Amino acid sequence: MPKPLISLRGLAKSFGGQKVLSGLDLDVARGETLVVLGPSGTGKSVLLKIIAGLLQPDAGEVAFDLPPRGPLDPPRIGFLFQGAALFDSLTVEENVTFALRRFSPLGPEQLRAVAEERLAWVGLKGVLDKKPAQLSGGMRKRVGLARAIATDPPILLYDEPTTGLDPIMSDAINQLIVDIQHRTHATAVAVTHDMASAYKIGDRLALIYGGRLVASAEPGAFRELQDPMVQQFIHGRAEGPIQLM
Amino acid sequence: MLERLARAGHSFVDEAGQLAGFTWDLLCESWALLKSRAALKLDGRQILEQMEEMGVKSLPVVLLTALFTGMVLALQASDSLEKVLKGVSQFMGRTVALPFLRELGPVLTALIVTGRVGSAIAAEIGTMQVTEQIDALQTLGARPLRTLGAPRLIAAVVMLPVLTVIAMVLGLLGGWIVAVATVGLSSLTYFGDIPQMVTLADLWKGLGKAPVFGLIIAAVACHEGFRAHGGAEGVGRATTKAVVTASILILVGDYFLTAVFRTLF
Repeated sequence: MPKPLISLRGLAKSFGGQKVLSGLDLDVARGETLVVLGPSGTGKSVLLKIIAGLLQPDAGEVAFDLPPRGPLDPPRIGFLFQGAALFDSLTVEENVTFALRRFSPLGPEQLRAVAEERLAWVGLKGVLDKKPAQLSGGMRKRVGLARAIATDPPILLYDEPTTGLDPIMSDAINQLIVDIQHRTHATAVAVTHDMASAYKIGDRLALIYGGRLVASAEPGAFRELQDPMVQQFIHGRAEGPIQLM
Repeated sequence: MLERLARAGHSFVDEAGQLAGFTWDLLCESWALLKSRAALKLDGRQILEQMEEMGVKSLPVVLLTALFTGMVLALQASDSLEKVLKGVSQFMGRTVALPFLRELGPVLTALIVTGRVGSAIAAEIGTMQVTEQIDALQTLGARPLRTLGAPRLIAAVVMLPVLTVIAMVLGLLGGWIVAVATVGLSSLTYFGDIPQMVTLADLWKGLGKAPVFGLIIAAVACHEGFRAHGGAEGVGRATTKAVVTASILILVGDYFLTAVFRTLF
């Protein structure tokens, strides 16, 4: 089996005495899109932030099978935040080219061209000079996506990519994630509790609960898993081994 | 009771330690920003923007406050002087100038900037924190403390002395207006009396406090902003705490700075 690009071993994290992750092991193969499922409050976002280096785990380790990053190299991880997290004070163009301005020698015209191209990838035109406040929720998410992929990072992380969007916009975002996967061949981890989204974008689905991995399988096989937690989650039942938080 | 006091003392020491550590990191990042041409090219524009925000836009309120405080001081001085001895209103120049240069100019300016700018810094950075924009900065390869904190610190340390000088001038002018219009002194008597007692050292004693107050305002406001959590309520809490903490530190700091400057000059 080839070496996984992202390898998580024994991850543990607590906040104020409450255990969020307790000994989580997870591998993500090169070029794979792994969807991490789990009820709210099970540490899915914490997991992404640990992978991105935004949080330090209390125990365990995160390893990437990538050449070491030099100080002048662009970030290796693109992150689509739940609320897009666009910088309010900057224009869409400045948001999308934020990392490029720091880590590439491109001039203003080239930067604008790259911003235009990446925005076209996510289906947006004519928004370069707008401020985030002038955009709808779906548009903000797409700008966030364009910003995350602007430097062609080998790893992409999506935190609840469809939360807060209408079903049609959700499907459009899911399709964009699939398209970007085909275009960039990046290794991706998406966190969601939206099963439609999971089936559409995931090469493999993993369910976490109680801070640990419950099960993981390809979408077709995942649906057939007899694990009661998996079945409860897929069918969205309030009763079962997964307790409401 | 004792236990509660001990706990409060412990948390105070804890908070002070955190703020001191944060301020040190912020100073290091500011220094790194200033000495690197590449960093200045990226984040230097922010310094100018912050200077405009803190300096130019604070000007009207600083002008008005200083002018009217100078006027009130002159009125009060005139009453007090007349009570002491009839006809000593001619000493009004020094009576207004001395407290204004040493204390009121720097302290009033710092308190106004705390209310106007300190609150804005804490609210802006706090909002960025709770909406994950600070996390986004990090994932895009920026250092939040350098990109957001350092320009604000540099702008505050530079602009506070500038505003303070303007406040001093306006305070003296306020005193002059009252001296001439109400008390009936001549301009020459008012301004001529100032150098009789006020020296350049008094100016430095006052002006020397301004950059320290700028540091306090920026460091406290950034610190509260960066550690904001819990949505809109958290941002509100951070903003209030920034203003209260910075105001208290300015007043307490003023005492110690005065004590130190007394021995130096």
